[in-house]
Amino acid sequence: MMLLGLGPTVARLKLRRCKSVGAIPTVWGRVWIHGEGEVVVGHRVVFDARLAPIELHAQRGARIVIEDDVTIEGGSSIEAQSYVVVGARSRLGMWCKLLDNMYHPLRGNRHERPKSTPLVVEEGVTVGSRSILLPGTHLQKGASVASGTVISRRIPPGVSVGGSPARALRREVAR
Amino acid sequence: MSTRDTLRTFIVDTFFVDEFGDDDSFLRKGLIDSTGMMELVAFIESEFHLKLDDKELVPENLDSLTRVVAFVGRKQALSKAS
Amino acid sequence: MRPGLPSSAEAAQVVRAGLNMVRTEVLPRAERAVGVARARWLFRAFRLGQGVAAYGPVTARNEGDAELGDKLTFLGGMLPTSVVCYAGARLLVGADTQFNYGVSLEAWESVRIGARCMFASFVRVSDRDGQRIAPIIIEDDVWVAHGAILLPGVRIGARSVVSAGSIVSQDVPPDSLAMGNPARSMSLDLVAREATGT
Repeated sequence: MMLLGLGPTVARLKLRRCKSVGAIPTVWGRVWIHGEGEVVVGHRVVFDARLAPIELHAQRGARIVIEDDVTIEGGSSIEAQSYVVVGARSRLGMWCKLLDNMYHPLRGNRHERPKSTPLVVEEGVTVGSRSILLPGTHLQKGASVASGTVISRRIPPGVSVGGSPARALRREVAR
Repeated sequence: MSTRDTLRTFIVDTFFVDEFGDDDSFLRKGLIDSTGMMELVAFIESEFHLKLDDKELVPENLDSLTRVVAFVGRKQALSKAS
Repeated sequence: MRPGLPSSAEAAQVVRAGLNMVRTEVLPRAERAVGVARARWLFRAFRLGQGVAAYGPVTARNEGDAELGDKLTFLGGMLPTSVVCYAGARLLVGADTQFNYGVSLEAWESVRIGARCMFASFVRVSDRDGQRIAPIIIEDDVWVAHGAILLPGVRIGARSVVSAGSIVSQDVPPDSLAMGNPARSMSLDLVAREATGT
């Protein structure tokens, strides 16, 4: 398929449920897009789902924005009830989970749904595999997240965090 | 730096909240969420060389700055005594 | 004026109402019926309660004594859920418990899960790791969030919450929130107001 130069065409076919898809998308494997919200994909986005499928789930009224040059690896799952944005040149490792809603309250009736908080990943962020980004996460430009981290708050630019719950491992020297 | 100032600086730096009184409930004012509370506990343990028991993680001990300061003071007195 | 054929607008309205009814009433029921039938087939080796539904692939194996309660839900998704009960083991799941996709439930000796629990995606519960086998008990109304791992020998108290990505190696008392790696528990009073969210 790739030899025939049909890669982007096939990718577009696989991403047909998105509201818009930018230039030259790459999709290997299966991307499972469901829900009634809208998914917007930028230019040159790579979905590498060869090892496990990728899930993009935007519920009614929700919006998932994947900006230019983002790479998303297999097993990642983005679930939006309101708004999730993944900034340009970011990278999501395998089995990441991005949630903008807790889905169940901690106490009381577990079938109610709590309020959602938008989740923002700014440009140039690296998210390691098996990380979980909870509602309210705001990864600022150039932050990096070690694998297996659980985050639910703002991480300043250029800081790398790791652990569960997240702790700052290193602050990048200003360039 | 006093215990209160250390804790206040940590809370302001980590959770990006500046306008809060010493008696404000973290929960009711929405200052710190559950993950943040765990970070606060980890900070208290490493900063003051204390070991907090899971049973001590209750609102009476940790829900406002005054309570946290009093709690840390009690724990420090206890660890000195033993 | 005698009643003639309905106008095209009226006909379209009737058709639209019909389609809408199919979408909101008939399809969910059909899906549920298929789910129940699939669960009956998948869990044929289990002692099964009423109204268990599997909306996606489930790998189920029972060589011991496994009992599932009434009205369980297994949701489908990216990965199959797996429920395995090995020879001589006892697996007990209470009524109304919900499982999201990718949950892995393994019983080598004894795993007991209470009623109305919730298991999010990729939760792993196994009463055996490399070194030891110890029974796991999960009481009623527990919510285990995405990607949490429960190690052998833990007991999760009623109404507790295990937060996303935590690795639970110690008992969690009732009404508490377990978080982190290794998980520590704190009182739910500290982080949640009564009957509201976080």
